[in-house]
Amino acid sequence: MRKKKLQSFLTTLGQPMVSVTIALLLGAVIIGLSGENVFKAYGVMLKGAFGDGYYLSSTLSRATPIIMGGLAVCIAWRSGYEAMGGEGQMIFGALSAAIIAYYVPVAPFLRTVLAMLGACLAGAVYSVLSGWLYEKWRVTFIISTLMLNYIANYVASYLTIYKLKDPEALDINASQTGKIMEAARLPRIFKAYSLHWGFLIAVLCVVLVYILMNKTEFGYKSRMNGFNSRFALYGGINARKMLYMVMILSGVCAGFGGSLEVLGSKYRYIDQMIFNTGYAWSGMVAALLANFNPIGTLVASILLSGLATGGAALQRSTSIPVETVNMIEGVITILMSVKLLNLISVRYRHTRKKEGGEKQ
Amino acid sequence: MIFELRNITKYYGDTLANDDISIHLNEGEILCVVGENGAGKSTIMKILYGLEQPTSGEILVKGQPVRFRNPSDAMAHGIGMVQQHFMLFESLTVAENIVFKREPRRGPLLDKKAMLAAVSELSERYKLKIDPSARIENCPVGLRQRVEILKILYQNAEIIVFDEPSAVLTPIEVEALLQTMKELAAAGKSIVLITHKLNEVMAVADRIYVMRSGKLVAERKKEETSTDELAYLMVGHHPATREIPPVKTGETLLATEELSLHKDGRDVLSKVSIHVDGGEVVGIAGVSGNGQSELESVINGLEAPTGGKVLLCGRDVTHESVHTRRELGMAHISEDRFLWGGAVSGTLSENAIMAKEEREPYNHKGFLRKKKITEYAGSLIERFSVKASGPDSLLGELSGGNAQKLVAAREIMMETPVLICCEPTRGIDIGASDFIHNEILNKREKGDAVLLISSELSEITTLSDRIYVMFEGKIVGEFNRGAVDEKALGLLMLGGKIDA
Ligand SMILES: Nc1ncnc2c1ncn2[C@@H]1O[C@H](COP(=O)(O)OP(=O)(O)OP(=O)(O)O)[C@@H](O)[C@H]1O
Ligand SMILES: [Mg+2]
Repeated sequence: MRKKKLQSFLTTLGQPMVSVTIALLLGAVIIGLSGENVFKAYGVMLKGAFGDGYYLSSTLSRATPIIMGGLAVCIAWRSGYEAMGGEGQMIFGALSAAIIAYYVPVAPFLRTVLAMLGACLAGAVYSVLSGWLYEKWRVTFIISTLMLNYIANYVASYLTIYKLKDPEALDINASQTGKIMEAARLPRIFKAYSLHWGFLIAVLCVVLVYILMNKTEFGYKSRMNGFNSRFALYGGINARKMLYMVMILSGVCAGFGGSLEVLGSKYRYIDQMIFNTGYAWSGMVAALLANFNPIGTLVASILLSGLATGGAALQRSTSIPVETVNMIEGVITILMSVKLLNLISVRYRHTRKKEGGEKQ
Repeated sequence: MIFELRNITKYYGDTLANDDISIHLNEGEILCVVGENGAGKSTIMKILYGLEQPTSGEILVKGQPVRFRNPSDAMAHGIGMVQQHFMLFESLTVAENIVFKREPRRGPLLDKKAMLAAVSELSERYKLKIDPSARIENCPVGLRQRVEILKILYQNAEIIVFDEPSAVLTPIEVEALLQTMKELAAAGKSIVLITHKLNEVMAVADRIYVMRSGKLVAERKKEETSTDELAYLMVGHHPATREIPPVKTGETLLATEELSLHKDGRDVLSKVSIHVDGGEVVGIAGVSGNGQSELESVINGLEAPTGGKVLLCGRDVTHESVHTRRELGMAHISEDRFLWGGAVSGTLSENAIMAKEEREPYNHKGFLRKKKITEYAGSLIERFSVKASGPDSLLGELSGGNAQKLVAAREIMMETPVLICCEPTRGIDIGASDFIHNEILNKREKGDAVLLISSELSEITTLSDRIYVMFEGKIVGEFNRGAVDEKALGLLMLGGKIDA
């Protein structure tokens, strides 16, 4: 029994690993073709991602919003709703957190808490909107959420440029909100490194979501709904309640992720900050890679984040363009969308069962 | 010899589904494969059809060794299969499904006229009535079956494998189908038929293979055997005959009052009033597609009627949710185990606990207790002899009949005052059907009410204390046990009249 658990944990870890490895191999070919030393290039990348405290800490803090975006996808997709609205929800979460922490005149600690709650609420409301569009008008999630993402980004741009621009920098041509006071920020874990408590909070969220999805009645119901929504109806599960609960939870995760990024890293909302970094999309890739397992999503998020920070290092110290790294991430995305990994995991599961069976 | 399978062995993980099986088929022959649930019948045919790869062994078609990587390979060698679980596109029409991949075209476009003509011609030639422009998603299982059969016939296969094709057809339709098979065989096509119904075997087979636990245990010529012997070979003992003692009926536990349902411009149900009392098994006989599925889903709360009432244990539940009805005391074996009755990607535990997930001891303050649930699933598996490696295996890994057993077990063990059974023994072998019938009768003896909707007439006539006959959404007859024979019922089901 113990062995089985360990193995299933390894499969979770194994899935993102395999796909990243394949992508890195393809990346090696590309790097090789462009005439660089592959080992040296990857050495630089590895060091630039996980090499020392400084790099590791920036990888982990970059991973924070990705993890939360990934959790949002895990919750929705495992329940059978192919929602992709994490980006919009994260944008409104980040913006709400930045506004609340900057403007609300209460004690700093309360500002932090209110900013987080506000971000959760913003994410949830925006997510529920797409749920409502689906329930009322049968607008497919893929369409509604993608549209809502654009709307969120432009609304946030408008607000940061025209309405909520940093009052201390009105003359500077920067579209961003005011900087949050130091006492209201999420503190760093180590003084010298950028890693902040938000990362640990995100890890805690991973554990909570894991428990929610695997150990609770809600998790069971949502999983059955994802497997076969007719079966869920037939068994007496309230489809409407399920839809909104899932949308709320998923939106809370994404919105909260936005607040962690603002409170822990940027200390303000900067126009396009979520849109340009593609955090929500990396989160989605991470969740797909991990087959919507929260713990796998955590691992995959860190890997994807490492790919980005390592890629930046690669560009700094070699002539390899950052696009190569983008290509690697692109390959990963393609790999998971063709469900190659799913196939591998099914095969693996069968061999695993065989081993487990012999012991009984 | 048109095809031959030599020493086929197939493992699924550590389950041995086929153990060194060698079988062959002669040209123009009708071959039957019989055996218990999980014996490996579907597996061996899936291997022949390219849906599964054998672990070892070889396939020869017309003496030539071949390898089928997928069903298209098999089709290219003239092998077609009517699956046990339908593989149709829900959102396409009947005709589109039938011609799929071989559409008649005019230029690059689908030639609708030619398609409809071809499909109608086919449906008339084989006496399989369908509406070519109906959408599959609106078709009940009985019709879907017909579409599957027509699809294979349309592809002009030389070898046609039928995996339990008659499970949802009425006796008259089955007779027509068997006749079709004979005609096809006479025309030189070769046919393999997997079935649990031994009378069908005796009606059409030239030769019979009996399988048990993955092995081939016997081969018989039709003339050399009997249903008794086959049954014995399959299960290893002779089936017991059963006495059904009369039970005193109690108050009405389930009733409908003038239930109507208007859908897609027609009355699928019109003024259906039925009642089922405690201690009573009430059967609904009818050709599938005459409103039984709709009656089922209106009674269990999946569909709202346009008029009339549903009464459960004396309460008007017409506007109550499925959840409330289940809490009040209704359980329901769905007509389709994979469409409604279960989740193939879920484990047996997850499938077993549905509708009990909110109850102690399985749920404690919102947290599920895995141990209790596994124990419960284990008890269902054991009691109903579901052949599976354990509560953690997936429902989709079970053989058709075993999946059905699990669904039936779950609903029977809800121990509710009202049980709705739709095709409860669909695809289940003789031994296990007897077991499930006994469980249904036990419920009746306990004073519970059972509504039995089945396209298998013998099931209805042996179990029911009272029978309603449905035709085109109406109740056209009501009989007490023994007051009517299968022939007369069959006639009524087709809209005929019986002389009083
Ligand atoms: N995809 C699968 N994965 C794992 N085990 C499987 C799978 N398909 C079938 N099996 C197992 O192989 C065995 C044979 O199954 P098969 O479907 O061939 O039975 P069958 O004779 O057709 O039974 P039935 O009469 O119930 O349809 C069963 O024990 C079943 O659990
Ligand atoms: Mg089968």
